[in-house]
Amino acid sequence: MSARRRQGTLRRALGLTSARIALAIILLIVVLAIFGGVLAPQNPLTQNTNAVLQGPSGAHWLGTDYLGRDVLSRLMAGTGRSVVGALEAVGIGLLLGVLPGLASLWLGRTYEWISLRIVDAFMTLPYVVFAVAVTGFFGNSLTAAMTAVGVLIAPLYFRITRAAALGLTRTQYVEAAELFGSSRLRVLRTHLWSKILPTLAVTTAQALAAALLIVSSLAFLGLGVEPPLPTWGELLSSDLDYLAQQPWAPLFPGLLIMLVAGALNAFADAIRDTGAAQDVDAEIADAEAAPESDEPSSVGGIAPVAEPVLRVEGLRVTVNRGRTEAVHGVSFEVGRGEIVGLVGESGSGKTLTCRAVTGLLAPGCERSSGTVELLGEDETASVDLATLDRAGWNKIRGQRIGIVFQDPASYLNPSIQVGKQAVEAIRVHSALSRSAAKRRAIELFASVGLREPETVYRQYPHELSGGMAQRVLIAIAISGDPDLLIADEATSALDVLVQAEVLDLLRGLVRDRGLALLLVTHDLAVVAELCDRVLVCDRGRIVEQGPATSVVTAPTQPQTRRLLDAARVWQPGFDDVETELVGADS
Amino acid sequence: MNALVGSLRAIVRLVSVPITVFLIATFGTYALGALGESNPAATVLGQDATASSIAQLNHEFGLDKPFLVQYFDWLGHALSGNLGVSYFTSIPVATSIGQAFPVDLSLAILALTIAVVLGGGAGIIAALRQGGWFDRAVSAVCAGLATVPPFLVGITLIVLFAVTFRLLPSGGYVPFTQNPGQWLRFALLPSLALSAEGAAAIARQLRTSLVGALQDNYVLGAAARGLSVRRTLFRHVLRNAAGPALTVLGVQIPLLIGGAVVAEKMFALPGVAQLALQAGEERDVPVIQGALLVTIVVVLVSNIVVNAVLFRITPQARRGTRSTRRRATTVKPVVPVGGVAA
Amino acid sequence: MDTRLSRRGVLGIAAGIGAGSALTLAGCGASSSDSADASAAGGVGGTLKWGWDLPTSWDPIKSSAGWDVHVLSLVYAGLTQEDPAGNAIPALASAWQYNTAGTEVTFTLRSGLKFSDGTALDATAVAKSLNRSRTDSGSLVASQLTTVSSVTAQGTDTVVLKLSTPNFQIPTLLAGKTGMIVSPTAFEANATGLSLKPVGAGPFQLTAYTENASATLVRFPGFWNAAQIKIANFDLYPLPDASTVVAGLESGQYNVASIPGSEVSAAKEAGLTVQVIDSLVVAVLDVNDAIAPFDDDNVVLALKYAVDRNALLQTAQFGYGEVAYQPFPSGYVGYNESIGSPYATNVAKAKSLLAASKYGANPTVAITTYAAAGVPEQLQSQLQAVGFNATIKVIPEAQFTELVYIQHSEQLSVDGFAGRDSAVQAFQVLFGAQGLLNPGRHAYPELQAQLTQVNETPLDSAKYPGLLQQATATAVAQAPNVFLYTEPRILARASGVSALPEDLIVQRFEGVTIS
Repeated sequence: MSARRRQGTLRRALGLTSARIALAIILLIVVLAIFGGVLAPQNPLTQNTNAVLQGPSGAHWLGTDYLGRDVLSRLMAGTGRSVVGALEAVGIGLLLGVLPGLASLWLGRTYEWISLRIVDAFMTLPYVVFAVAVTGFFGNSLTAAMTAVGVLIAPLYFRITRAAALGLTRTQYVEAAELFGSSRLRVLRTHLWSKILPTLAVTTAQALAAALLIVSSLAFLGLGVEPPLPTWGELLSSDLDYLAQQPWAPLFPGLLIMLVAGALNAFADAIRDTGAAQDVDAEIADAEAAPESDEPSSVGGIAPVAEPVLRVEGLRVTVNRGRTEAVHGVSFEVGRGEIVGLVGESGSGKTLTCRAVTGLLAPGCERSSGTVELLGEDETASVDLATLDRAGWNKIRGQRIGIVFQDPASYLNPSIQVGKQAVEAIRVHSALSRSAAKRRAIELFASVGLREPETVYRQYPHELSGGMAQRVLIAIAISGDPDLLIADEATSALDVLVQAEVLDLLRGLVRDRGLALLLVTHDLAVVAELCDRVLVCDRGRIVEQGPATSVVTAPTQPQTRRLLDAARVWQPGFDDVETELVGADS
Repeated sequence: MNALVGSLRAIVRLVSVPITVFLIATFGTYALGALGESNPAATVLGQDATASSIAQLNHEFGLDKPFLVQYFDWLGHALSGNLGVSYFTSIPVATSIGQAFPVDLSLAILALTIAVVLGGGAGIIAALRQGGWFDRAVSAVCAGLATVPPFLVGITLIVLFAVTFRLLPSGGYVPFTQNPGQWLRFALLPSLALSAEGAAAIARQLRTSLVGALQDNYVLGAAARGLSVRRTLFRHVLRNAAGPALTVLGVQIPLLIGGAVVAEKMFALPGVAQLALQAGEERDVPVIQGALLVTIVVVLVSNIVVNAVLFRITPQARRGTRSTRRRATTVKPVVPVGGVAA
Repeated sequence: MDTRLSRRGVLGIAAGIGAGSALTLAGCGASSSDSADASAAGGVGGTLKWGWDLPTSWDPIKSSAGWDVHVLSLVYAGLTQEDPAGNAIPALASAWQYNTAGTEVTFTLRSGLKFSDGTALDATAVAKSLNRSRTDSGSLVASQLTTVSSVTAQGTDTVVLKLSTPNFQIPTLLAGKTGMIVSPTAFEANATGLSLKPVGAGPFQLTAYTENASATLVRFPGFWNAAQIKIANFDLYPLPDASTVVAGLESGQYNVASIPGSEVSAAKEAGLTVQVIDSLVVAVLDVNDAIAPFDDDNVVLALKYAVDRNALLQTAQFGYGEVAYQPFPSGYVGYNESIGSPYATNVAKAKSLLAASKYGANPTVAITTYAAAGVPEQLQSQLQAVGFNATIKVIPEAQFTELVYIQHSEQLSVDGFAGRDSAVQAFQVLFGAQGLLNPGRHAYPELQAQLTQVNETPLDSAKYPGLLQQATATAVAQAPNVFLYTEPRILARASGVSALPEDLIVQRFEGVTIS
């Protein structure tokens, strides 16, 4: 995959329209740079003091300058020197930056330290003062000014080369190559060069654009201009002296510079963006386009439940901005005090269903049809979740529906203490004062089995173990005394012992508070352990549902059997299975 | 104890760079001055330069001593606060810089405020409405601002506000301490011009960081807990995602304070950069040295401040966070074009 | 014909809108009393805001720029000053008297004069100030006072200057920066502070100064000629770019400003009045006739005929000024009418002169300059047209003095000459054997003899003009310096500012009113 990606970056970049336009502009400039003098309609040096500062006319399409010279010809003829100037600067930067950058990784710590400090030093110098100093001491030529700019660009190349190479030298294949005795140079040549090249290309394009702009700044200050030979910067500089007579004159060289700089940046962006990781949302990528059908896909229809809390009917979810349907009409209910397991392989649509129910679908995914209702004790507490906007959802989530996820610590703000985040959630949904909320939070932490709730309060998410973090999240999820708790792969990232404890906790909560619990998981063992009912998902449909014990012991569908295999619950001999299940902790 | 040693080490590392720069830069100026074919005494005398008057003035300036002696003399005086006297105006360098620095400082503060408000606001809105027309417009404007020859922004502002509509003056300055209202009239256009590039850089960086951060799990977690978008954004996401944008902001500070040469020239502002430019052209060494000193101190202080703030808002910075479902974004290296503000 | 709405002169549009009405005292700037009350205190009132330049130093002996004299003349006065034509007239001194040999001159001071710090401006003070100018180790005007061997005070109102050689030029010499009288109390207490806080006895006194930003002055009632000063407040600003100066005038940021020739039509379109005032500043090419190719007289002559001075004037100043073949502008006592236009452009003649020279038809010449755009480019083209192989050599401004004046290594340099208060000193700088604008270090014995004669002739003698003009003619005929054109002061003023005096040497403000 990565090799293919490397080769195709340039070609793929050119697939973008913006890159093609940018490249066309750059090529045009290159042509002008080489042939500009020849292509120019008139001699850029011919003066005519009887016709100074004239506006555009038939003879002079862009008018004349302060010595009566044709502006268009000067612009065209000036391309070469302007481009060469920028190339000079960037070339010097490259030379002074790339080699020392690479060297800094291999020539030992002293060299590294010294070169890093020198680079830092140059990066803090204000570039204009530096350029003034250089041109002041070495003469006001384009070369002197560009050398100054080049020296100041070098640190950038140094840093980037070093960063790119640093990342690569630590990869395994390079280390392996070195282990096998390849010399450093060889390693560099074979492995690193092709990897660094795209980064260098991007940086060079950007640096060229930057150099062009810096030239214009310097020209404004009178540096690096060598009349009478035209460069864009010099044209800009003299235009500003005669702004009263020709207010639009700076536009031409200015726009030209902008155009080239813009093209270079756009080209650089294109290379960088296509070369970057092409992450695709796993759900979207895995959603296979199963043939759509209008039949309700819940086998056996909705099993009616006493005191339903959640009712889902005919839920359809599309992904990829509506192009693919991934959930094809799912229906089920979850009742008060009931633990329902929604089980399936990854890509089966269970997570999408769960997200649709909680209103947390990723961008590009949409509930295309079907209803989702949250039911309360009486009709007034019932809510059609499909009609909610963000503000509406904020009253439901955290209050009437609690949600916990896999990898719990990542769902909390890493830079705030967990206790404070619990307090925040509590105060958003209630009128408690800060101190009352803090007490409640600590109570909640205690009630989920955290032995030192005050200590945990003050900790940061990354300081907690997986199990503790999940308990914290569960505590927060139930803080609003919800009717429904949804656990999306809540124990999948925990090790077996901790998993058992958390499942215990969940069971206890359901029993003590009369919660409805929807447990989404791929692990049938968890389901077998905890759930009252099971819904088996496959390719966007519920293919089997029923009481946990019967589904687990006597699956009717091949998909269910596969899941059982995966959970290694399936053993030859049904009796053993029952023993397993019954023997589980309660 | 370890923390103390660690922070001492950090301070030393932080300070060592600017001090090294300072020594190298100031020594370099003296060396180049000695090597280059300039003769400040003669330039000062101009068309009154005779051999004897040049010799006398050279002696006044201390230029008849070997340049190493000159350099260490200067260094010694500088460390005790005496920055010498300009060759061309006979005004003590400390006085000149003391008058010029507040100009840059006040403008930089205003420009930074504008950049943060405009750039930060645009970046946040663009990230929230990712893919929408506002997002695309912001990207286009930022890209455009990055390619505009910098002083064109300033000239446009002058032509619009000072000439066509005559709302604001095109140049000049009144110190804030003298008359805040007048100061604002003079400071507004240059600050706008200075802030343009910074605003674009901040908007771009913040948008990128936010777009990445908004896909982090804890944003989902916050939604799951029923927190509003505004609360999530301002209390949680910005704290964590502002790091790179803050770094960009930090880079702007020395550019604004120490080096806004183009803006100062265009708007006739009596700041340090303009002082340095003039001194550079005239080879007025004491003034150049003084300006370099100020610039480097400013960079040092702003680095410390930015690093401190960064540290404060992301205690996880050193540990890093695990997060799943994170879309990889590549952060663009900030190419210091340094346009108007450079 | 351009209408108000035309594109041209966009910086000068809105001519119809408010032109003249609210421009002058609009509330920009830091000036204090913007009182438009012209009837206050005998016609004194208003604020003049001058966009000109700020001085390098407010101490006249430390000022390193010649044009500081205009600004320094606001706060300092000398024993004499110049009349509009450049002749010496009384100022702080009411009269002076030379001895017959011309080696001693006695000045009689007006009585009751004071400095702006209240201390007495008497003979002792004058003597101390002049001696400081002569002898202070950092004095940049000392070289102009070398003929003065002593300055002594006699009584309270007599000052005697003794000279080492006969020199009747002293009255004009002391009219400028060289003769400015500084309060001894001030420089004895804090000499370095003078650079920021001047203490003199000029028409105004400084009340606030921010380096590179602005200077605020008020009328000094103790000025000997205070009755002629009708301006109450004077604000001084540095000049921004040519592109924004007219806008600044229109918006009221300044009410008088120096503008370049390129902005004159824009200023007029904006309703401003433009005055073109002759000055001593002249553009000149320094020719080094000690090195090739200019050591051949034919080549020098070819150069003089090749240059199209009028074309250069058009480019550099949009035609404002005059073509010059001599160092002084017409109207000045040293200007010699009979010289005429000795080197009117003649390409054919130039070519034939080159052909006759020992360097052939295509000698190589480098035009040395620190600002290559404009005149040097045009000059290069003009020289190339007659066969010179001309290139432009750009050197940093800070090296100009060193390379051109001290090392005299450059063949041809684009330069300017701002004149001298003393005509003889002007000649020495331009043509003297040690003159800086005489890089070939040629001595002209005939000229020197004539100059000695001038030195020994009283300024008010009937023979003086003739003798001076004779020297001018000699110099123009023999020296290789190529004078190009004069550079007048071009001042644009808003309505409400009365006409400004058109003094040749120093811009003065006597009689100017603001309404």
